[in-house]
Amino acid sequence: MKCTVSSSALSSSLSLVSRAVSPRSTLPILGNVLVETGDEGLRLTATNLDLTISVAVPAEVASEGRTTIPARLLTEYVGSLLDAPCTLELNPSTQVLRLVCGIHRTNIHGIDAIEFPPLPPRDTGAGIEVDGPALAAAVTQTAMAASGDEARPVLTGVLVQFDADRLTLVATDGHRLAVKTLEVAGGGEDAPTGSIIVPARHLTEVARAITPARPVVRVAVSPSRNQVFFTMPDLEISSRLIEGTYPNYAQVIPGESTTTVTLPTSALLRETRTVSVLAKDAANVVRLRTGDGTLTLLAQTAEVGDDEAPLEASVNGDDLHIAFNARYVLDALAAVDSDQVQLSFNGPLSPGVIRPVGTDDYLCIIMPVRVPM
Amino acid sequence: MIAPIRLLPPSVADAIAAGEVVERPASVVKELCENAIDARARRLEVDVEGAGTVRIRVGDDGAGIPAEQLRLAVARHATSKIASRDDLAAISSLGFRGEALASIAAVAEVQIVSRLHDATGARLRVRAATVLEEGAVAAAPGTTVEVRDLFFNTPARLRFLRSPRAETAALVRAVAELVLTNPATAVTCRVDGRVALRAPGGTRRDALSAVLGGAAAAELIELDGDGEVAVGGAISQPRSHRGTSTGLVLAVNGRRIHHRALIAAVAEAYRGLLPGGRYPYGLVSITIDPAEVDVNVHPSKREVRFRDEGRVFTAVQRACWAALAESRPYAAVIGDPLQQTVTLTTGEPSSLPWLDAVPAGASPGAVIAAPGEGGTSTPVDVPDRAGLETLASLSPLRSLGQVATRWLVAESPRGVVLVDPHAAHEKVLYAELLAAWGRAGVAEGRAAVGGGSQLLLLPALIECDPEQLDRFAAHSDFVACCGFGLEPFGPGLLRCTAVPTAAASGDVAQLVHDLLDTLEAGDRPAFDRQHRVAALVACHGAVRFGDPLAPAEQQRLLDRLVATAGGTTCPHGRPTVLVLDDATLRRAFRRPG
Ligand SMILES: Nc1ncnc2c1ncn2[C@@H]1O[C@H](COP(=O)(O)OP(=O)(O)O)[C@@H](O)[C@H]1O
Ligand SMILES: [Mg+2]
Repeated sequence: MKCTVSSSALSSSLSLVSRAVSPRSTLPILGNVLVETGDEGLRLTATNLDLTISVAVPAEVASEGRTTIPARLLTEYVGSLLDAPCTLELNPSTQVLRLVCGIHRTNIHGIDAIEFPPLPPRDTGAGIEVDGPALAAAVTQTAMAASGDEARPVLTGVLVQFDADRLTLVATDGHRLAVKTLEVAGGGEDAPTGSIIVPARHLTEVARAITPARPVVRVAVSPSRNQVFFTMPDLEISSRLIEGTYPNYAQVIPGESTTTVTLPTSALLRETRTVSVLAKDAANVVRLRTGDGTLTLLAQTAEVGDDEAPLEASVNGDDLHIAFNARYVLDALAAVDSDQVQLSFNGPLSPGVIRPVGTDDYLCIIMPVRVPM
Repeated sequence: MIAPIRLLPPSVADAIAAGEVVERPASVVKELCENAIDARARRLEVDVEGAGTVRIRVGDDGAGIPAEQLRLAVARHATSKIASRDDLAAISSLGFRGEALASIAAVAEVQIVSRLHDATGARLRVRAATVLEEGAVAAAPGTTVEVRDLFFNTPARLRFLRSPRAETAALVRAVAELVLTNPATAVTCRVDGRVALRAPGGTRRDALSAVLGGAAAAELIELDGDGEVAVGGAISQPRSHRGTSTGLVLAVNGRRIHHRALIAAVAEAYRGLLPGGRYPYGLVSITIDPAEVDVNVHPSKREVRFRDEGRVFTAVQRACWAALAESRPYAAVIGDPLQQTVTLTTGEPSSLPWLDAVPAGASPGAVIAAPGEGGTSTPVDVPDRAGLETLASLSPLRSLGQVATRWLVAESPRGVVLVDPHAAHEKVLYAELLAAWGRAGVAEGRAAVGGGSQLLLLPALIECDPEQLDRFAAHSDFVACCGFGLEPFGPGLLRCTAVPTAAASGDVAQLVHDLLDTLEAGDRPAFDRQHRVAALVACHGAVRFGDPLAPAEQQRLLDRLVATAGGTTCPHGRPTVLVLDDATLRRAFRRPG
C-alpha cells in the first residue's frame, strides 16, 4: 500500500473515527484503526463492535493495501504534524507503516488487517434522506433525555419512528421525555417503517459528525433489523440497535393544562441556571411559583442559602407552586430553539410540559419533584 | 468536717437495696478503693496476692477513721456518709450502704489500721466478724485495710470463682475503672509484687493514657458537653475500634455504672461510622445533680436510675455527635519499602490491657504483600498519628484525578489523599438525606416528604413476595415520608410512582426490592429504620465503584465530603479517605525529614 494524503484531512478524519475506539477494550485490535485504500482514496474505519465509524479521505493512491494502526498513537501523531502532504507506505511483511511528512520519517508498527473484526454489511440502499443539520439538532434535543442507567437498556436509547412523511425521535429516562418530529421527503417503497431504538450515545456521534459539508444524511435499517446506518457522502456510521419494547410514550403526553406560562426562553434559561446555584444538595430542586404576570423561581439548600427570582411572564390559569430537578429544566430549555417558550402544567404533582412557541414539532415533559413546600 | 460513723436506723437500713456485695475479689477491691476515694485520698496503693484470695491490701492517705469508731466501721448498716432517709435521695459519695466492710469482715480476716491526721494510729483485726485484736499502733496518716483468706468460711463462693487469671483481670479492671472515674488520685496497683497499673494522679488524659496506653489514648476525642447534664471524658476516633463492647466505660458523678440505654446512645452516635461488629472505647463521664439520679437500685451500686433518662440520653448523644464531627480520617501506612511489604492499617491501637478481657481481633486493614513474599507480610508498627487532623483540616482538598476509573487521588495541606468515590458519595448523600428527613420529621411520622421525591413519568410495576408486601403494609407511611410513592397494585404487585430524588437515577425495581428487604418485620425504633433506609437510598444514588467521574464531578464530590460531618467513613463504617501524609512518605522513601 502506498498513498499520499493531506495531513490535516487525515487528522480530522482520524479524530472522527477514533470516537468508535474503545479505550479500554480487552481486544487489542479494537484499539486500532483500519487503514485501507479504496475507490474514494484512503478509508479509515474504527469499531467497538456496537458502533462503527468509517470515513473516506481523498488520497492519491499509488498501490492498494490495508493494515491496522493503534488509533490513539496515530491520531495524536498526525494531529501534531504541520499541514503538508503525507505519504503512507506499508511494508506488508512487517506491517510497519512508514509516514513521510515534512521533515519526519516515521515508522509505526501495525497489526495485520486480517485480525480486524468483520464489519457489518454496508447499507444496501433502502432508506430515507434527512436534512443533516435538522437531524443533528433533533438528536441534541432528545438524546439528553435518555437514561444513563444500563438497568433498563431500552431507556438508554432514542426511539426513532419512521412514518410516511415524518421521522419522530423520542427519549426518556423515566423522569422526563423529549419528543421531536422532523419532516422528511417521501421515502419511496423500500423506505424503513415502524420504529427502532438507537443507543443515544451513538446518535450523538452521528450529530457530531454532521457538518455543512455533509448536508444530507441517509438513514437505513438492515434487513434483519439489528443495525442502523447513517450514510453521508464520505462517511458511514452504523450502530447496533437496542432490542426491546419501548414504553408507550404517547399516553404520558398531557392533553390539556390548568396553568400556562409564556416567557422569553433565554431569560428563563439564564435565571434558572443562576437560581440552581443555590440548589446544592442531592435533590437539586428549583421551585416555580406562578402569580399575576410573574413566574418566580426559588431554590433553597439548608444551611447553605436560598434565592428567589421573579420573572415577568404571561400567565394563564390557576396559581401553581411546583418543583423540578433543575438539571431537567435546564436541559429542556437549552433544547428549545425559539425565542419564546411555553410551560404548561396540571397541578404540582402532574407532568409539566416545555415547548417552543411558534412550532409544535418539539416538546419536553418533566415529572415534578415532591418537596416540603 | 468528717461526720462520725453511725448505725443507720432500721427505717433507713430497710430502704437500702438488699443483696450481697462481696461476690468475688474484684468486688472487695472496688469497695475498698471507693472508701478511700470517699475519704478524699490523694494516693492509693492496691496490693493483691493469689488473685485476691490470699491477700488484698488497699492503703490510702485519706481522712482516716477515729480509733473509737473502728468497731463501728465493720458493723452492718454503719456509715458516716448518710444519716437519714432524705440523704438517700441525693447521694454524692460512692458509698452509703454501710455494709461493705461488714460483709468483707464476715467472710475473711480483715485488719484495719487507721490514723487521723492529728491523732495516733489504731488497729482492729476481725475474722469472720469476730474481733481478734484491737489497740494503738504506729501508722502514717490515712487508712490501710488488709483482707486475708477471703471466702475461707464460704466454700461455695470460693468454688464459683473463675480462674486466677480471670479474677486478677477483673480486679485490675476494677482499679482501672476507678482510675478513669477519679483521675486526680494517684494509684499504684501491684499483682503479686509486680506493678500492673500505675496512674500518676492528674488530668483525665493522664488517667486514660495510664489505663489504655499512649497509642490508644492518642486516638481519643474529648467529650465536652456542659449544661445541667455535663458530659465529659473521651471516646475513640471512628477509625480506631475494638472487637468487644467492653472498652467503653460509663460513669455518673465519679461512679462507674452499667446502663444499656446510655451505651445505646453512644452506639447511636457512632452509627454509620464503624464497620460491622466493631465497637468504640473510652470513657463517658456524666456530671449531674445527685438528686437527679438514684444509685440505690442494686447492692453493687452500679445500676442507676435517672429521674429524666431522656435528658441524659440526649446529652450523651449530643456530646458524642459533637466530638465525632471531628473524626480523623484513616491513615495509610506504608511499611519499609526495603522490606518489600506495604501494610494499610485502619489504625487498630495496641490492645487495651485492662479494659478488654477478650483480646482484640486482627486489624481489619488490608494487607498487601509484594510479589515474592509468598503472600505474607509483617505488619509495621503504627506510626505516631497525632499529626493527622480532622477531615475539615484536609480542606482545600483538590482532586488530581481518578486512577483506573476507581480511586480518586487528591492533594491536601496534609498530604496525598486517596478517596473511594462510591463510599464518599454514599456518605455525602446519606448525611444529606438524614438532615433533610430530620428537618421534615420523618422519624416522628410526620406526613411531609423529606429531601424530595422524584415522580416517575413511567411508573414501575414491582413483583413482591408476601413477606415484602407485609413489611410494606407495616411501614407504608414511613416509606412515603422517605420519598417513595408505592401503592398496592393487584395481587403480588406494587406500583412505584416516585422515588427519593437522591436515588432517582438508578434502577427503580432494584431499589424498591432492596427497600422492602431492609424494612424489618418487627417494631424497631423509627430512627433505626431511618438510618438503614437512608444508607440504602444513598448506596443506590451514589456513583458506582468503577464509574468514571469527570474532573468537575470529582472536585464537587470532594468539596461535599469535606463538609460532611463524620465523612471519614461510609454509612457501613468503611473508610472513605486514606491520608498519606508527608511524614509517612518520607519514612517510606527514606528521605530525612
Ligand atoms: N479508707 C477509709 N478511710 C476513711 N474512712 C473509711 C474508710 N473505709 C471505711 N471508712 C469508714 O467506714 C464506714 C463504713 O464503710 P463501708 O462499710 O464501706 O460503708 P460505706 O462506704 O457505705 O459507708 C464508712 O462510712 C467510713 O466512715
Ligand atoms: Mg464503702
